[in-house]
Amino acid sequence: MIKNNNTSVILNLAKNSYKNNRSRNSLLIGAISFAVILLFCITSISFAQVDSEYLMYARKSGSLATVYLDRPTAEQYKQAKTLDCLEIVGKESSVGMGEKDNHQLFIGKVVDDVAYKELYRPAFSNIHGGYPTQENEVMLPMKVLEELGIKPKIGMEIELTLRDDKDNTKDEIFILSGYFEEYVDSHMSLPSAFFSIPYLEKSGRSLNQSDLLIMKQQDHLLFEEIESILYEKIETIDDIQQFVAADTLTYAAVQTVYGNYDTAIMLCAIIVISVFLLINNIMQISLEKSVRELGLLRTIGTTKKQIFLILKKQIIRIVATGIVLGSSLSFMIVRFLLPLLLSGLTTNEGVAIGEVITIRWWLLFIVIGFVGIISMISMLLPLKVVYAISPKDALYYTYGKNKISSKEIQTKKSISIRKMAWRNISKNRGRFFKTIISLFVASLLSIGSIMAIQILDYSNMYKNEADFALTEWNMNASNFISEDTYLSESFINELKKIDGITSMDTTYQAYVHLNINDKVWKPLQKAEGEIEEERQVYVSGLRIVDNDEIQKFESFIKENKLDIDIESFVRGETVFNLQHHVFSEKMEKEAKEVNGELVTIYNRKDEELAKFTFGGYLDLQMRGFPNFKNMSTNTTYYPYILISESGFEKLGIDKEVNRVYIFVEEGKEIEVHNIINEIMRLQNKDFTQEALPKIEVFAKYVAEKEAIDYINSIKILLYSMSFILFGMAIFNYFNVMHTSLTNRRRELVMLESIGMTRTQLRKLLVWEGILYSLVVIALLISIGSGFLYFISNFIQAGQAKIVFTYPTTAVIMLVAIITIISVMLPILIYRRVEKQSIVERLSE
Amino acid sequence: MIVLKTKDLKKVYQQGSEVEVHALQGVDIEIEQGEFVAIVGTSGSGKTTLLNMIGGLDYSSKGSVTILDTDIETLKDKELTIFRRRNIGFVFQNYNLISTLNVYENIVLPLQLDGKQIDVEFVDNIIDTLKLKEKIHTVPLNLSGGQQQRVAIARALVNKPAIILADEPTGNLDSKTSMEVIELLKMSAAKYQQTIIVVTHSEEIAQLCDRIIRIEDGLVG
Repeated sequence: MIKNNNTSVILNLAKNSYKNNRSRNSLLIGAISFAVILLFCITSISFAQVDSEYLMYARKSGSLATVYLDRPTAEQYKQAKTLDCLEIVGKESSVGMGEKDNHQLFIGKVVDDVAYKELYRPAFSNIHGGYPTQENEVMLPMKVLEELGIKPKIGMEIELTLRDDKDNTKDEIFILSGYFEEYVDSHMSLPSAFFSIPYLEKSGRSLNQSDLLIMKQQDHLLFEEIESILYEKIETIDDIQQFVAADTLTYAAVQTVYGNYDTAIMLCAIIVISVFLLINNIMQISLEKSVRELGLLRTIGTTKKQIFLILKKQIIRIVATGIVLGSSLSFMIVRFLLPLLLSGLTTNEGVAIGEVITIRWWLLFIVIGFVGIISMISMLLPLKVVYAISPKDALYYTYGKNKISSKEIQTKKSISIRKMAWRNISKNRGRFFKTIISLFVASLLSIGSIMAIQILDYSNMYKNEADFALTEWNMNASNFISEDTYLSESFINELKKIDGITSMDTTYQAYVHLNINDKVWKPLQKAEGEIEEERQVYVSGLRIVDNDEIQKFESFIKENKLDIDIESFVRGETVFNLQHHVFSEKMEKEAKEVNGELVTIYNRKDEELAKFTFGGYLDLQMRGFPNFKNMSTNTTYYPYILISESGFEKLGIDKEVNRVYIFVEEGKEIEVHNIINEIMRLQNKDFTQEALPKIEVFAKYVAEKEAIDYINSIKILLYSMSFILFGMAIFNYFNVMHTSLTNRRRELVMLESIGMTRTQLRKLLVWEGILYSLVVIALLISIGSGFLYFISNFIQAGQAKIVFTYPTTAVIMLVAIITIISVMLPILIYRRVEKQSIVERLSE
Repeated sequence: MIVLKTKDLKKVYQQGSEVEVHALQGVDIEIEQGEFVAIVGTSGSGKTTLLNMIGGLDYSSKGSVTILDTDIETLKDKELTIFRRRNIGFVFQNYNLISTLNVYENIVLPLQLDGKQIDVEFVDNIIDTLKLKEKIHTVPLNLSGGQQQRVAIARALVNKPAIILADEPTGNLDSKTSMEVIELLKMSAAKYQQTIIVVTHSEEIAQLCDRIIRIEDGLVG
């Protein structure tokens, strides 16, 4: 047997082939680098966006904790530590409320090392000093120090007043061990101050019996899922001990930027497919030449395996070069350029996107792997063609060899250039469909991404809001109901007179009394624990469901498979209670036992108004809970009745305006605002200082102005991404057209040889381009619109209102550019070859 | 009447480089109207280059080509294309038919490019003469080599050109079909009073022509 000593010839042929295809190789290397840079930069920016949102949420929340267990035992703590679903488990105890002159300043806490370092510290900035270790040390937020009028210095003495849970106050001197910047909204919650473990132990307590376990679940687990897992894996000490969870801050961040994880994945898929089309299309450019080259080798006796080896060496060289170049440039861009460019884009909580953008090596490796694989697959295409046909056919291979389906064309007329153009593009059905689909998909992806970004566009966050909203809550936190109403009929009539107001809308509130001894309230009382002895009556707000809101309530019931008699509710026979996720798993089951009991509603004079059947407790935290517009003040552990319009009518009481929405002509916002302020100033004279109700005034133009930087930062990033995708779609279109023209050089020169002038030839090619563009445009407008509608619904799934806004501008732009390319490209290409003779071009 | 004249026609490929090729070294020929001429030479003799120069498919390095008193070297590209379309018919070795057009459409394409009204009687006459009547709706892919060449000849004839240039028209055909094609060309020349120049390396085919021009190393003997 003769040995096949051909390693060196394979190497030489590979080198030779590489040299002979310099321009193709450069283009491929460029495309691969571009793909790596594009994917890595876009994904890095996306992660940074989510990170900055995450940091913002963390700072607003005051910590990263999203799962809590009250009254935990040591055993429960141990069990929690072993669970994979929980990323962080820490301990926390309260040491009282810090105050000054009866004004609450902070919540005093003692936390373990894990809780401080992994849950609290990431939410702070500008940290000086450290966590207290000595008994008399304290770590305070800057806000508190400012309120105390203290300029902080580590080691200084500070006097603090602490109020414990028995309402006893104590003044103590502490040494400042550290201070930090925090961003908790003081209207929602007090900031945290930290005390040492020895301080806690001084009062006879220990972190081993902490007040709370504070934890964080894995990012992909929604609150319902983690609660369910924890109830299953860890036994609670009694019926009311409760795992309380929220979605992770990562989920909240992804939701803010992308709507949900699914949309983020969808956008990622769009980018990935676009990159695939880009590289695949470029490979088509030199397909004919590559196949002929390989075909020639086949005719002179090169085996398929040898051909594969020749091609493999070239592929590895091109892919490696492209990846190295792309990775190096990506690294430089993400490490140095993007932080510089994005450093000025800050959120309200001072988190600059440029601050958080970082090199994620695992992401770079995934991008490289993906681009490498699709490049190699695309570059093996000539081999696939050569394997499929005979050596002789490969030697004379022409791009898209015709397989005309009909043997005859039943016409005996001369043919116009337009008809010739149509026959040219459709002669090979397979190639025609492949080209059209490739162009259609690329165009659709780009338009779809623009539409997705428009939906997620933050500047639309206020789009559907009224220009002004005046809100009045008649019941305060102490359940005292004011008899004086600010948003009275006369006041509203004054507002209606304002010139510039286009329309107004109002929502309502109402309050009743309930008998604390009614059986239906027992679960709520059990969840609360101890009840004040003085309390005999519940003061409860009503949430009235308008008739036009019934349908969304029905949809919610159906989606969540709740066992609810909606008909009875609509008729006004049944009411529900809305609870703030206060029931443990066991309590939820127990609470169902009171379904069907009677509940009596009284007016504020304790006169019986009506009796209703109790339909059950509904958790306000349930995902997708409908947003009924009529709202009243409500407090945790207090009843909050959900009642229909018919049910409310049975009570025979008045409802009061809780919110007035005002819509204004564009450009008149400031003017109207001034008038509203004047009307309110006059209205205020009717009240004494003590009796003056608190009115919240929302002005959309002010809110938009405040959010403008934040909105712009997200807008710039998202629209840059869509611009790039748009550009890729155009490039794909350009590439397909250019490839078609380049690979048909012989055919086109032959037409010239039999007497077709260049003008006629250009006309033929322009018609071909126009016909391609017309087919793509027709598909975009017909099938494409259906897909866009689907994408729109997909992104907005779970939202109360789904709005489909057709991306008209983007479609028009794409159509215009495609048409321009179709017309201009043949003209430009043929300008270049003017100087060559037909014979010279035939021999190329 | 002299329908074609070349004077000191030269063609150099890759001029100025180390591998300069003198394909034509000063060719002077004159062809009368109605002649059936063969240009014969071995491979690399310059016969195809000469034909390409005559047909305006390539530019000479020096010299002139005059067809019907027009020096085609002075024409601009568009003028040359139109001139070629109206006055020169081409028959190629590999037929060069348009794959998306049927036989009839291929034949009348030069007329249509010229924006001329189709002389239906004339076209039908050509089709009958070349025995293509049964195949007028057929696409080239489904024709034999001989049939395709007859379509190419018909296309070359349809504009009633002054000259028909055939570059190895029988190169891809068997001997029987080759003879048939040459006979057809000869008959068409006689019938339509056209001058036909055939490039061939086959002596047998050359012997069927009225005159033989021999070319060797870029020079006419």
